[in-house]
Amino acid sequence: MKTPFYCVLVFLASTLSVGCNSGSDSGGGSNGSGGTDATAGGDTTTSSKTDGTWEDYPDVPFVPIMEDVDGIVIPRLPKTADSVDASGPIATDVGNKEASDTDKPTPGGQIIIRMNAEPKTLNPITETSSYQTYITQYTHEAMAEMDPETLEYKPSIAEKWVREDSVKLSANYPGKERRIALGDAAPTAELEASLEEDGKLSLTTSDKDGKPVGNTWVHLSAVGEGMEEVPQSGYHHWSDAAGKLTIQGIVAGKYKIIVGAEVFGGTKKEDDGTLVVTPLTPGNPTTEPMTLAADEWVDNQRETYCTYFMRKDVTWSDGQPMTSRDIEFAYAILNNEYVDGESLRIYYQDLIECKAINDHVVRMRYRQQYFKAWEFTYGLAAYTPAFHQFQAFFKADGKTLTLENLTPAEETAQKKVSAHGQVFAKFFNTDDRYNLKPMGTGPYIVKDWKRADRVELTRNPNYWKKDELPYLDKIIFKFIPDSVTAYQALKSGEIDFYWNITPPQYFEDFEQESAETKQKYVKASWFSPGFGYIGWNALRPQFQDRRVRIALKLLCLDVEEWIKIKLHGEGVQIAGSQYFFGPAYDHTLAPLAHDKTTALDLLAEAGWLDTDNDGVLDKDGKKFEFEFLLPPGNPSAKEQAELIQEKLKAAGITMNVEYLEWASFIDKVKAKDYDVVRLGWSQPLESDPYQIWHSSQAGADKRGSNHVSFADPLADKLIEMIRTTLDEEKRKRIHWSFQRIIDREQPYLFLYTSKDFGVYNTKFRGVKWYRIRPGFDLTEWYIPKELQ
Amino acid sequence: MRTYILKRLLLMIPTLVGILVISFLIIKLAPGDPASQKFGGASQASSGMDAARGTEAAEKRFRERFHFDEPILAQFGYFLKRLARFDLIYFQQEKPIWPDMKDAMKVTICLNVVVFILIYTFAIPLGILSASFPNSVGDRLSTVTLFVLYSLPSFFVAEVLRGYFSDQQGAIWFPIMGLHANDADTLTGMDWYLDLAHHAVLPILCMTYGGLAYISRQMRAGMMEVIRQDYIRTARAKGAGKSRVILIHALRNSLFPIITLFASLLPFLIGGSVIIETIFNIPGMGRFAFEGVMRREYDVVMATLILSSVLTLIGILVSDVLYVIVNPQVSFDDKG
Repeated sequence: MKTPFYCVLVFLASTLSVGCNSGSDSGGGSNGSGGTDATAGGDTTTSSKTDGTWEDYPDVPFVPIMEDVDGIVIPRLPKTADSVDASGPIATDVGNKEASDTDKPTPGGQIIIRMNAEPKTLNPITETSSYQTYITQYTHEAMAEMDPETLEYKPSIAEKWVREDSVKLSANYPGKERRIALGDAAPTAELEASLEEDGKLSLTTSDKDGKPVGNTWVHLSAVGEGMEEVPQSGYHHWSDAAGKLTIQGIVAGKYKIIVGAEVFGGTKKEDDGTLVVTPLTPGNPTTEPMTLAADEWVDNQRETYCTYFMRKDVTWSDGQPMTSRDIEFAYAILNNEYVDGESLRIYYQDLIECKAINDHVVRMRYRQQYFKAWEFTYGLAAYTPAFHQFQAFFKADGKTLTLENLTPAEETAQKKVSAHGQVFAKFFNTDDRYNLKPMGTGPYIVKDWKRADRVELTRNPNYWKKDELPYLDKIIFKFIPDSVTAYQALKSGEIDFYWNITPPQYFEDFEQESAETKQKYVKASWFSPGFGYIGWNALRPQFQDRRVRIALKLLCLDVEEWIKIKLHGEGVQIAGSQYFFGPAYDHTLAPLAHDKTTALDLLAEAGWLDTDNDGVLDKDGKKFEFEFLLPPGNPSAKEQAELIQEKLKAAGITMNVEYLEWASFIDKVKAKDYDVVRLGWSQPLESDPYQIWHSSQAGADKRGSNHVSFADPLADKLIEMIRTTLDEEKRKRIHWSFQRIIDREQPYLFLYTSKDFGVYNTKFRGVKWYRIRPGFDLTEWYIPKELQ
Repeated sequence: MRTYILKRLLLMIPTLVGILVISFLIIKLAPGDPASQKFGGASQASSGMDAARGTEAAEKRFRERFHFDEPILAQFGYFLKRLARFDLIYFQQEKPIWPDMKDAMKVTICLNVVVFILIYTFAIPLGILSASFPNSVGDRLSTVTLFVLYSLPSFFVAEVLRGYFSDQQGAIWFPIMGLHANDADTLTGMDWYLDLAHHAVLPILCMTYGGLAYISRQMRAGMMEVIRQDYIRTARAKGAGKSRVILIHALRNSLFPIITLFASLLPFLIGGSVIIETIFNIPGMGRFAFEGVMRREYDVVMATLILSSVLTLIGILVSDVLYVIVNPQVSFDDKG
């Protein structure tokens, strides 16, 4: 990673009001200081407390905004807006003086766009780099697509989709009784079992007569002590076709295990607990609506089934129709353990079923209720290879490709290749016919790839969206890693669009160009989701006290000034880890201000004083000193580090700056072998805080993304609530409470979301800059006829 | 002589083993490995997904699969095994490295052959000329110029050249990057080569001038030393003309150091230049090896290291042999 990542804005006053039940903001102060004293021990953080619940959602804990710590008032910047919305119409050709209202979109011409790195392949399953996705977004399509202005989804490959709920009947539901047995023990309706460290539980599901019933739902919930890592919603599993299920690799301890038959459909819950389940899609074994009394059902995971009705006119670029079999094929590949798609498979591990109902209807099932579940299902089509293309590859070898799950012996005997098998995987991982030129259904096809030079896309002659044809005949991605070379290439006309121009080139070099050059190009900047931060490693003693972290935030850097001067105002300071322009960001929470005096008070409060008068703060005989780790190649971050170093020195803190090349850098961060790190995250519009902030990812022995080892029980609880809450407004409230805990604890020093920059040729029209990655859509760009 | 060469070749084996061991240790000393690159690399962080959900387990499996979790000795064993079967791979893609390496090598060798020819074609006459008229205006001028050239860093020269010659409206211009125009595929025969030559001018210039300065200085020094010898004085005394003395009597002996140098330059022939290749966006060996290091693709690093060490060893041997061939005073026969 060179620089972190950026995002987009549009300010819209919306009507969100902040209501809270008990305790107005004044309650926050005492609460905020409540936990601080406990820190001395060696806890990584203190635990947060709630203060009642939100007025509009009485089951969501309310966390007040921190006002003071141990009586020391914490200064904040003035609040700029109550809410900011990323959706809304976007103007075209902003800044292009050549553009006029009379420009008519005309097909023809090409664009050469600079890309700063080259993907290894264009196979969307095995290569998960952003570069691959930026290219294949023009060649592949998903079931639905997001409208970049309204940020709402609209149909694409699927003309519609229906979401249904998964309801589990109680074990004694008449006619569908289910039993569970541990090992050779007698089957029961529910049981308790202890899982040893590294041990396993062998379970069998059956009906009331003990006859095995396969594909039966089994649920485990923690009942033992010290099992905080187990999600409160427990673990959902299904036995295999023979009714067998082996549980291993989860937290050791005592579990309650229950079992039940499953039905799905639209659900409606009455006040008395009665649940009406109505089948909404074809192929549902339940044909009539069922009314379940409160004691007849035990679990309802909302919106875990999604059935897509694919359009019948969708064709691959070779003209063949795309069908549900292709989607099943993608699902088989994704789950083929020999396919080198581990990075993607992780995201899809909870997509437990993908089944064609008929040629154009496909149903997907997610393991449990999750606000992002749908995103996984609709996106699968974008990773889908054409089954018939692979069939032809294998046919040339005299073999038949199949979706059946065959053993290697069966494959040989039947002269078949199974999409689940090793032979297929090896082919899929390495064969360049697909990997370099994957066939898709999108508006463009990969025509040519000159390694280390460029990828050329040309129009898909068989594009099925006849009324949404792109204008440009060709899109050429030119790989130029070196920014100086890229800049020269722009000036000499070898590229039309310099994407990711460096800020110094954008703000300084380009300004000094001749009038002629400036006339020929348009500067553009836009936000995309992501942010930069400084992370304090909570495993280091000096950063375990939140007062110290808060003090450092007040002391290190005047972020507002930095944005104003160094970024020429092209950025926003942030106070939390959600996208500033996304739906989950709490805009009622203003960032902490820059204030040295308060910072020193806090440090003193935390015991850091200059007792020996050597100009350096100390505590218990130890000097306040740490190493600031940053990746190289980012001059602006370097300058920032030096500024921070100076400021801290004046306050009596010694900071040593250490640069490491990326591979070493990321390894140190993952091993948590660092004091302080400067990094950035790129994000979706609304991110799931689990991976960065959940305590299960904290600690010296974990290598996940919670590299600062943040841990807070209430935060954990909120994170789990966020994951399972489908109501957007309610989820927003939980996000807010969560963000306030993050603000209170300051595990990161949140810096800013800065813009992406680009310079492009004025001949391109129809140009819009969106607030979602990558920020532009080349299918909308065109060159007026007279300029072609 | 055959015994000598055989002996030297046999001696190469322990040397090579030593090089292998040390290179392997050094690359392993650097933090990070292909696993953490694959699951925590730049691409993941910037891909816009929730970067690392659960990659921990995947990373561990990956590491186990390629034995990165085993003791270094075992890892070295696995490496030797792969090497013996020529089964060197990119771990992160599980793909053989050879096709990419071959492509990169082709590019670098093509460029460097031209560079070498240019260096020697100009350096030798230049050196001789300087040595023939020591301390003349021409000699001093060339000395100063060459020293200046020698001290100029290539990345700087590359930028200056590009600044001057990139204007396509200008009388003389050169493409600033790559080796082929975007429409190179549509060109045929001669046009294709002309396009390549047009693209190659600036990078070749950047790679040539430093070596040119160095070799011509060596040539001059070698020649100066030779013409001070007694036999040259004898030749002069016999009445041989200056040009005959220099070109017939002195030249052969003054070439010795140049020959030695040539052999030691052999590894550079395929090594490529990281800086020039990066600046001019040329997919050669330099960038191939550099990216291998950055991505912790151990096999790529080891393959390029082995290649250049073998070439160095061969280069040394060749230069020793050449030295004997051009200089009859030295022989391989054991006099003792």
